[in-house]
Amino acid sequence: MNQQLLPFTAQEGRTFANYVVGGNGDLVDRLVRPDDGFAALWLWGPPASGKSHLAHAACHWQVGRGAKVAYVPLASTPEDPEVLHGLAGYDLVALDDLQHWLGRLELERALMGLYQGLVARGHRLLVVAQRPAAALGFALDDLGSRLRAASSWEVRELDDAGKGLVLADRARRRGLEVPPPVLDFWFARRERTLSRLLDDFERLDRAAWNEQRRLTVPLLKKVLDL
Amino acid sequence: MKFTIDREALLRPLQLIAGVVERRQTMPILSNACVRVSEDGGLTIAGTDLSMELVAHVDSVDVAVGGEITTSAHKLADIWRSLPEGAKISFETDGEQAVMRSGRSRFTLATLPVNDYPSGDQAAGTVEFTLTTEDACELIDRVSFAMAQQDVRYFLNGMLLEVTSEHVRSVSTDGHRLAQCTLDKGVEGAQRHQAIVPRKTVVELRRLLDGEEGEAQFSLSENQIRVARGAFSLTGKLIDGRFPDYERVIPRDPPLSLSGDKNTLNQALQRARILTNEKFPGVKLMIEGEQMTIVANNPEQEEAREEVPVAYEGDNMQLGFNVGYLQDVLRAVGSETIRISMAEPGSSALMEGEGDESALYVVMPMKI
Repeated sequence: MNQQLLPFTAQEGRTFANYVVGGNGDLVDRLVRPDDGFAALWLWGPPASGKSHLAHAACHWQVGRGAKVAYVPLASTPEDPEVLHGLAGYDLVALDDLQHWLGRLELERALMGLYQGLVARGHRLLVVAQRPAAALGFALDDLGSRLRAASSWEVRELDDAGKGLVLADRARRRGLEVPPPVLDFWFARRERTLSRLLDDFERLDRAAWNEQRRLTVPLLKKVLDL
Repeated sequence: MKFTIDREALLRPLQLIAGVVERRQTMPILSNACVRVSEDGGLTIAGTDLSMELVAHVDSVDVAVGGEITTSAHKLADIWRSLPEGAKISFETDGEQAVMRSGRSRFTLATLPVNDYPSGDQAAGTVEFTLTTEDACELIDRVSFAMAQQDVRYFLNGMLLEVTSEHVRSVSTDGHRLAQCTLDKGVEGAQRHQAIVPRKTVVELRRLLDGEEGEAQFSLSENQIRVARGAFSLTGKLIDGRFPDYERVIPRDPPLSLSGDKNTLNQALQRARILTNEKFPGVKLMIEGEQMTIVANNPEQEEAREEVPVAYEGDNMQLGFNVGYLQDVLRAVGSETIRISMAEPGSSALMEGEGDESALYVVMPMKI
């Protein structure tokens, strides 16, 4: 029989406080800059580059200033124009994985309606996609031209040092430490995309709980089959 | 320095200080208690392990010559304990030694100067409140068993004390189970303040609260806890770290619920425990209708089987638990009836005493 662990670490908040800025300093500055009236930002970058984290963090930051915000993960939201109904009343609307909703006229019309509603009220729109607006095909030309005019920002992937900081920070929040030699060993032998490294970390964290051990090279070897 | 004192006046201070001072020390002065007497009849005695300091004041001491000295805390405590009840003890310094006389006994101890004695800094409290010793003991007694011991996640090796305008609460967890005790006695105007009190400080604090009922004044700052009780005050460093978000792991109104007599269940578990695997003392609980069957097996293929009546409406289910974790909770629960509820078989179990509002426990199961 295996003892189960209390689910303390189920979901950590994604805020600026636990975001490692790396090469995205200007973008973070832009996200926390107040706007007069309507503004649209388009964030793009490869998977696991931290786009959703930034969108969550921007929402969280606005909530802290009393704003009403909506974060809509379009990849996991029913493809129904009704989903966007009433969102124009929010001070900030973040649409994640926009590419999932492109190419279908009724969905793009709903996006267009939301866009116009936000413009009319002077509210903000934050779009997240894997590619820049110019590289995507729109079924509705009006929507395409407007979103291509949005302020476009490439989210830059962290380098290894930045990823090391992310892991060290997460470990610290869980009461663990990642000594530099352990990090070197880990990076030299595993795929270094952040999402894979964070998956690795969750397995290591669990093993550290179960076996009452620190993060060491022998623990990594055992847990990650190295 | 020269004074005379009743054995009983200094017995409890010395016993408490001996709890704080570690027997083995790298710095000799840390084995010592610091004794100060003034000619107005006041005596102060202090002991420290650098993570906490206990200070006691005694009045109406018959002081001939004031002064201050440090000498072995444990030897003093042992001498005081072994002298007969009602003994009077004279204490005086002679050069670099301290001499104690009582009746036909005489002890000469080595001393060290007070200048080298570490004195704790007193930080100003950001939250201050007073509890009855009964309430303060409840906060500790109902949760302390679930504190971790020497966990690599150092912030688990202690007890969380949380103060808000609504409550004073204690929480402890070792990652497998969690205990929470809430007193609806908030501190007016208090912002949510959390302090993690190290395990050893919890133990010594509990000893300080023993004895006659009274009040204890708590003062929490960013990195320190201070508790004053009568003539004693305990000041301890807090664990620097963020306690896990405990509220997240407490199930809210889980639908599957069973209840039974606490003592019957505890006795059945105690018997079943005899035939569990010593290293992983797991038991299987099979719930069918109004009956719980407890099954324990060990590596020698021996088996214990116990039947306990329970109140339960729902599908049959099988659960696995560390028998020690269940018994710890049963011992800490105040009422006669225990209620165990969960979202689904295999998820975390919320355990509460029926009618006992102040404490709750969450125990993670074992995978069968």
